[in-house]
Amino acid sequence: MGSAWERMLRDREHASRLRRRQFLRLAAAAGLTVVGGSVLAACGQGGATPTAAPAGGQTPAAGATPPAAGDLKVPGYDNPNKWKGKTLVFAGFGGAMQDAQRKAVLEPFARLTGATIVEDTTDIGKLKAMVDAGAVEWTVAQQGTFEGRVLGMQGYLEPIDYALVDKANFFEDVAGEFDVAVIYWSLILAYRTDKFGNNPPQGWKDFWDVQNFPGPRAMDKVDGPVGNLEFALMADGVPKEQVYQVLRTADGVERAFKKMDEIKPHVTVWWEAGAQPAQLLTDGEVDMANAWNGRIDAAQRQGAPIAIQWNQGLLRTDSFIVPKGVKEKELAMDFINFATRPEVQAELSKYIPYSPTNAKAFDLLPDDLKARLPSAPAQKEKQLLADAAFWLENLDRLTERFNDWLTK
Amino acid sequence: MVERAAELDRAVLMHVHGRQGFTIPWGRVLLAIFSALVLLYLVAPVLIVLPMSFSAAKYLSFPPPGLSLQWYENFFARADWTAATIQSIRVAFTVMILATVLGVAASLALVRSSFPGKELVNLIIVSPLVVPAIIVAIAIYGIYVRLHLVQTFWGLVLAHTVLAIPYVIVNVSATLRGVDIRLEQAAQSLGANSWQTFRYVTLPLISPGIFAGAVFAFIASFDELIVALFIAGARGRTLPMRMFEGLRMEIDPTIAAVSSMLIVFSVVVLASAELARRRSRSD
Amino acid sequence: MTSSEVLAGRVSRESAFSRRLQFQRQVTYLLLLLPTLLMLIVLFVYPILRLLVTSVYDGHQLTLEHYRRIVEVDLYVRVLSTTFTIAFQVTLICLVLGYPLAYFLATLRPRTARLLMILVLIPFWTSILVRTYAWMVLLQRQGVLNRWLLEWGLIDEPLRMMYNRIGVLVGMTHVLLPFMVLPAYAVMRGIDRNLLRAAANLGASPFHAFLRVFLPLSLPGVAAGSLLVFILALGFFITPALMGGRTDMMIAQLIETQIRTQLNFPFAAALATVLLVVTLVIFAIYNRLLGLDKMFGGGY
Repeated sequence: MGSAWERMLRDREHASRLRRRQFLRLAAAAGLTVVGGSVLAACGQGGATPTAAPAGGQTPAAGATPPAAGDLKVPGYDNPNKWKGKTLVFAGFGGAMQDAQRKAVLEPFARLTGATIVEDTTDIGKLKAMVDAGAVEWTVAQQGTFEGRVLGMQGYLEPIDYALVDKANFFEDVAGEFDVAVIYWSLILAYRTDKFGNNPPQGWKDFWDVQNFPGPRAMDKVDGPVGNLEFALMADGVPKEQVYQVLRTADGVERAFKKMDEIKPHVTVWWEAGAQPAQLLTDGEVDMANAWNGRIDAAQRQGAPIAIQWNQGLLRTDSFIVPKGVKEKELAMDFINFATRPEVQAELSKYIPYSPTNAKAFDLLPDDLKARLPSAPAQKEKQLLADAAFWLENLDRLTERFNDWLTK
Repeated sequence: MVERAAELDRAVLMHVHGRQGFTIPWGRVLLAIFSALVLLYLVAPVLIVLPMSFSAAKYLSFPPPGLSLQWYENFFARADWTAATIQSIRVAFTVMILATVLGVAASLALVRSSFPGKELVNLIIVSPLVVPAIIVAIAIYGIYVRLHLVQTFWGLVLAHTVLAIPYVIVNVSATLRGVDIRLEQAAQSLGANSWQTFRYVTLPLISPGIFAGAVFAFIASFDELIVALFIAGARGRTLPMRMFEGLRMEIDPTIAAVSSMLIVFSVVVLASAELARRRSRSD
Repeated sequence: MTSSEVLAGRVSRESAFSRRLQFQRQVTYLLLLLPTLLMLIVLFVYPILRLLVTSVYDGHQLTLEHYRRIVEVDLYVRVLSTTFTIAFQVTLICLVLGYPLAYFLATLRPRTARLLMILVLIPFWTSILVRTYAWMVLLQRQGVLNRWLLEWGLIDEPLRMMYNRIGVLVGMTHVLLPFMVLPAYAVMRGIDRNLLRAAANLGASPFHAFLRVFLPLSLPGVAAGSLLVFILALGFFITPALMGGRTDMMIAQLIETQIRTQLNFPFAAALATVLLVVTLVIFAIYNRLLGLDKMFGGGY
């Protein structure tokens, strides 16, 4: 006890020095804005983000430290003057994701091709506005694949030129007409190991089985019907290959909601935020949940007694897209090609546990990392790939139905 | 003056109870206990967050298994947290100055002059306080997209200024109404021009209201989440956005450390507002 | 020219001068108001009007399709009624908790009251996110409160205080209580205590004096607080989303979902319009009954 206090006092002294220095910097920054206005503000923004630790403290990279970005070599990208004098504006999701992309994709691309890279943040409204106005600022943007395909159908995107983007080793449904999927993530079943250690749940049938697997559950509210309906059908015995076939029929939808009725009384939390299921499982608030794999992965690394059941998980993707009317079309395609090379995708996975869409990337990854990535062969074959075409057509209708069901 | 009224008030209470024979004023004791419980409810979250921020555990737990400053260190070591904090301070500070200047000017006009449609103007000015943030957010987003103000520093500043101006006007108008207009007239009859009158007579008199309004304007921007979520963009991410992301995406007590610092910050601001009020009283 | 004529001329010149001065002053005042007004019109009034137009005009013709959907689909009617019910419940709880507290503070010495008022204001000035987060830690199944209750033997099973209506009410009341206490306190402070003394001298019991004299006089503050709490509660979004159960969905959440996942701007605009109209109607009642200066206790 005494030593803990001493340590704390020492720490506090250290921290107060740290805080004083930080305070001066904060004060200076606040002062600068008033004097210098937006130009300084813009500089500050640009300067502040790149120093972020890769993927933050919560999603530490695989045991090994990622190699310095300067080491990365990508076959076919050996002319450092290829895009000299050209500027590529990349609009990503920001946060830990974009921090990782900066190290693994953007900086190597700039180094290997001579292109200048400017970063921005993606936003559907902004993309539509810039296309409508004929003033496209972004060269390449990131979006969820569903959203990307909606934009493509609405005529806001350039078709992908597969003469410039090599899709030879892509997984199925990665090469869209207007989009190229660049990462996989997954909605999976997560459970407490101390509760079901010897007899873990094997899939959604067990998630629904409150007799043999008692305990409160948490389910995903933020994705609405996406995931939940597929899981309900699989719990009802539909093989994963036939899920969308069944869901495309009116009877299939009824069947899914009927199955959802069964689990409804046992779901104590419908989660709204991605960190919630991990927290709920860690706290013992629930014993089983469906959750995003990245958050569970982060909690596991912090020592929480949680495990992932990959069986019957739902694989989803994010895509790169090119706004219609972009000036540097070839540069955009070359960048997308670069971002989907095995070397680059493997590199990205070392910073953040999002999973490659190019099958060859797994040849370059260590086994312990492969075990954590949703599209690695061992995990991928157990899961179901979200059917973008189905959800494109039915998202509106089924979201309304789902919300109605949920609030009843 | 007010204090004496309270003394009298207590005297009345004693008198009343005295007539009942100096019994313990049970009603009052119950009231005091009830009030204490309500106050406890109001500060309970603060009492939870502070100890948790010093936790040695790797994830959220209470009571903390040991003490450590790791989450404070984590906050200062991580650029995403500090950048968001700096961005929030920068935005809130600019908003505070803009809203205070605009709001003081508008208050003068609203209190000291009359014109047709004044009531409507008053309604428009106060309505950002009551229109739900989600409506303001999607409405502003709708026109910002066309004005190319989405994800810009000034876009966020202007939007927050709209939300902050009412606070300044409410506070400044209240003090301004309390200022004896004859003081201003006296100054003018002694040859002061309008600016001098404002600078040397009105301004000192309404400074507590301006100070309170400015503080409110700062907090209104510094705490604002929903409008920022729609228009700030990830690169101009503010502290509330970062915290929201933390709540959605992560599970570590860094957010408790941030919260504790924010609470200390608001106590300091409150205390200085209180001091300013006392000082202006004693003038 | 007689001296009186000179005098008269000077007076008329002076009054002309003062009229001009008066006019100049009016112009100055309007110029002072103009920037704020312009800003609010461009960045607040116009965007909201545009939102209303979006909800009824699809680019080619007028349509009430989105409003029909709100009325015809059970879900939206249910969410609207949930929204009103929650707002009403929160207002009631704020009243029950806030009135006695404001009364108690108003009977204390101003200096003491001001000190205790800091306790009311601290949460008022603490980010909603921080508070929501703290309540999660306090109220969940394995949370602090349940653990204490279990240890003290007061309960055998953990109570469900989160992810249901209780969680929503606890969280929202916590955010909104200061909006009740501040105006109520401001009005109660202003009540002339001599009236109470007079009532006591005339033989009224303290309870009677309170009921017949104090309560009616304090009503404007209470009404101001109640309406404000109700209006603000209608637009809540983060607290019900994070602390509520599946049946506690409020309209602001629905609007956010429409925008975020379905990109359905016109329908979101229609939902927003419904929420806006209700808010503004109550706000207008507030203004008519109480005047805007009662808002936030006028100086807090």
